[in-house]
Amino acid sequence: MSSNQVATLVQRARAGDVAAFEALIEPHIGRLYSYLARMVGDPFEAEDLTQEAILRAHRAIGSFRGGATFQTWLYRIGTNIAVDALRRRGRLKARVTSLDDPLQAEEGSVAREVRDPQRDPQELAEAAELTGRVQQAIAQLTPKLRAVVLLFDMQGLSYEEIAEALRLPLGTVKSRLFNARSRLKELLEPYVVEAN
Amino acid sequence: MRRCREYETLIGAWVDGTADEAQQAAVRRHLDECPACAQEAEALERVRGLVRGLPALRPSPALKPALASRLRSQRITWFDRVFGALQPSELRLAAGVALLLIVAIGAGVVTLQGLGPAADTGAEVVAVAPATGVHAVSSPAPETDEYLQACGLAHGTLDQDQAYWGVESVQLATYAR
Repeated sequence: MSSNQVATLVQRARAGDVAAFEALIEPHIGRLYSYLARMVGDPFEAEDLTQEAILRAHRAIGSFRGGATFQTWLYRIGTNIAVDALRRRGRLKARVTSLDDPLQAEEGSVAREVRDPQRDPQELAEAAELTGRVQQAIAQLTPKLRAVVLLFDMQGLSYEEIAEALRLPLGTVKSRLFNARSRLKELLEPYVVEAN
Repeated sequence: MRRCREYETLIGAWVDGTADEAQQAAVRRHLDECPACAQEAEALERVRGLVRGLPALRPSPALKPALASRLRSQRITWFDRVFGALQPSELRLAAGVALLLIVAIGAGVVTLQGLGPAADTGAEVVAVAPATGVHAVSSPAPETDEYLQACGLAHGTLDQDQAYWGVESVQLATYAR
């Protein structure tokens, strides 16, 4: 979607056109959900948070001035909601997503996602275990570090976009990213060492 | 070790793929000389690969219809339009500031300024509320050019006489700056 199209949709949404807002939000729903699910480590809660973030964006569309892109603005709202949810429920260390949960990947569920006819069951089990370990390690990061590493590595935002989304100086984004990776390296040492 | 610390940020940028050519060359040179940093960089790259390798998740098919329904029934107030994107903590701060302003204006005092005697009129400004333009001055409240000039004011209008903060015979006047 071009920036002109976004600007037009934003204008219409501000005027109360719900369909325009839906068109605006449509390309972001899946990615926002995926990000929030990794942030809180709970696919069911992530659905609620996704709704909450989008409803809040809808209410506040009048305050969106276009200084940030719509995507970064949405991630800002989503991150705030996720961090609030973690705080509110007194579990800054988010509970870990179970692989038994019916998580769905873009190409199917998580379980199906790792299923590959070319790979034997043991390989699949190892891949599933690794996914679980990585999610566990991410859940052990503080929400601040978690948000930065997920936005950069999973959502593909640039340093600048993350700085905008989280209202942080660029240097802080870089240092948090480095710290997050260093912490993950400690938490995932057996896997990282194995790769070496 | 100190030299290695200096390379931390560059190694981070290198792992992120955001280092420019000169930075990449500098990191490569350092990694060639420093096995510890080379191992660290490789481990960080591996970590990045693990995080990037996590499958993207997608919501249940029920999410979009539920969202559409809630969007259509959502009532949006002017407050939402202005403050809707703010966090509760930001809202609390804004509300606190607003409350302070309301209390201050309600009391007719925002700041105290001891501007001293105004010219040779004997009048003294004892309190100023810039937001409302109301100034309490000691009696008399002259509106001479000298007084107004000394206070940086213009177009004074005497509003009322009243006791003010224990000062007798204080007059309240409204001036424009």
